[in-house]
Amino acid sequence: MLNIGFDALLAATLLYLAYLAWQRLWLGQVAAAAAGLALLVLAAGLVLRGVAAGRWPLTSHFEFALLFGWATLAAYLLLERATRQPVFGAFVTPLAVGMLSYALLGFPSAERVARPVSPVLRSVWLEIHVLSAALGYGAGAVAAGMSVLFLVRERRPQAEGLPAAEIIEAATRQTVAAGFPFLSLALLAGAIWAQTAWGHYWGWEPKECWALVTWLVYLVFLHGSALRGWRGRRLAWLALLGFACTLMTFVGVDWLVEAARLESLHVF
Amino acid sequence: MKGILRQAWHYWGRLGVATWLLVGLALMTALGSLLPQLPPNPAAHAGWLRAAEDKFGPLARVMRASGLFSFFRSPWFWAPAGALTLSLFICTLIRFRTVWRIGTGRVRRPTSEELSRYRYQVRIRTADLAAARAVLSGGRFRTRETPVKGRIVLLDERNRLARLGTLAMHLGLLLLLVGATISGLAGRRKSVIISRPGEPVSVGPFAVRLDGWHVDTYPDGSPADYRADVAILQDGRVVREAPIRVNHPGRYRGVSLLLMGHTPSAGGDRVELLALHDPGYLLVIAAGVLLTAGVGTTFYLPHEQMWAWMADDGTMTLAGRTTGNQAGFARRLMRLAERARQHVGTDPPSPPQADS
Repeated sequence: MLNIGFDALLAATLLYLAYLAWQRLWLGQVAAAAAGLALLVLAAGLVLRGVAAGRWPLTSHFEFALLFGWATLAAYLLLERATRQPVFGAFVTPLAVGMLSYALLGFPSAERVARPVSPVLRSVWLEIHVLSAALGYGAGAVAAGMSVLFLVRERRPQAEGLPAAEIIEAATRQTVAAGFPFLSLALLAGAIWAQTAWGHYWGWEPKECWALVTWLVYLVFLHGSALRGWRGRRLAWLALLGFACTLMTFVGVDWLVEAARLESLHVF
Repeated sequence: MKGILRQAWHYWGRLGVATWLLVGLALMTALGSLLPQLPPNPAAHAGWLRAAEDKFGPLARVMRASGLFSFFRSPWFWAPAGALTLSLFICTLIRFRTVWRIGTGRVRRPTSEELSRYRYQVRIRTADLAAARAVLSGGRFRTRETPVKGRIVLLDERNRLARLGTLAMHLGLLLLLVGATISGLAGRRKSVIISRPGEPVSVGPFAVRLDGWHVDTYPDGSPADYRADVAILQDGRVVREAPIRVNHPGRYRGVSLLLMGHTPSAGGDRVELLALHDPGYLLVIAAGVLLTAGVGTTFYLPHEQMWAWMADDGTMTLAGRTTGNQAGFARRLMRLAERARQHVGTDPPSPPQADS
């Protein structure tokens, strides 16, 4: 089921890229339909996995990668529905493809098997924490794709078929603004879970540090754009930096803990 | 002296200072994540430091002396965090009255000079009050009308209450720092090892006794849940009997009892509890709720104000401002102006002036 969803997403991405190249309305419509299908099939795959495991599919690294890709696609489709700009898909769906490729190809089959979870991971706060983080990260991924489009637009002002820079920037801001409360909720729910599981709501572990860095970067983005009038390239690069921090939180920290021989409780 | 203090006050309250302090805090947090940190349990420090000396050699002493092994409790981190707290505090105080007045609807009518400095404005040749009213009140929002010396001012607003989200966000951040400080200064943790079931073990103000130990398993035999049946004793008398499970601590007189570990042994089950008293925790969580609600409303529900000013010279000025999407707001202003034009049948409006 997950592989079918991935194939549908891959098809949607190719169609969005074709739309970018040839600007045919029908290509955009078919791409959106394929992306919607991918979203439904991936959701069904996640639900079936949850049913098979007898729990929410929100605990392992593999499951979070799936959820991250799904949330990126969901956030993108909401954006396309609001803006009616299929060209955005050519820049955003490749990121969802990347995340799902990492999930489906980057883990050995033993790690992809749905297993029962250890008692410490059985908490409603963990579920809220993970779901919120995935939604926040998904919005961040969409904002990153939009920022790449913005930078392309800036470099090629005469390029045909690309929306005006201000439309792209507004959509990026809206996406970050929509995702940021989820990132905040993820930190809050994670703190509550850590307090009940480990006896401290914040332990300055590498994972926690980078989750905070990610949150601070997006806060600077929103603060700067809403109150200080930051525009243009600076915002685009900040959105990309936020996404880079997101990836660091998700995959980079595990590497860092291993490379620097640091200690972390966030190993599941 | 007073002048210097006033200058310092206004400097620390500037939005730019707060923004760069946030950047500084992010950089210091990222740096701290790269440094190995002393474990929270002081009993484990000696062994940890020996291992650090093996790993870093003579550099370990320098790192320890300069506070890098306890980076997040050192001035390296608390200097920018403290500066940010100060900046937030001053920023909130400076803007409190204005934000509260706007958020609670007590908006002062801007003068024509102030309106002329608004980022977006369109002037339409008409003195038709009905047109202005129809345009502004045609939407979903309340329109307020103020007659001023023969001229009329109409106000249309969106998401006014969301301005209070700014206060919630700043208050949340301040409470978060206060709560974290209380946790750090007044929080107490004690590891409680129960190696003989049935015998009370002192926790401090009371004692605990392990009456039973259960492990639930999945069909494959892996553990699904651990449960310690614990009795809490005060002055030798059982005052509460509660099961303590992983993620479900027991509580008595402000102390949480967390199940941390279990070792089966020949003499019976050895159970490790953590007795935790953290007076800052609830404040931190309340701060987190305020912060989450504040950021949601502040950044997702931008406050928009639109004024219609009927001047003596037969023109209507539409002027507005927003804390959110500027381009979208400019487009909406143009649509409003277009609707006004249709009502009164004058020339098409000129595009909005972005003059700041």
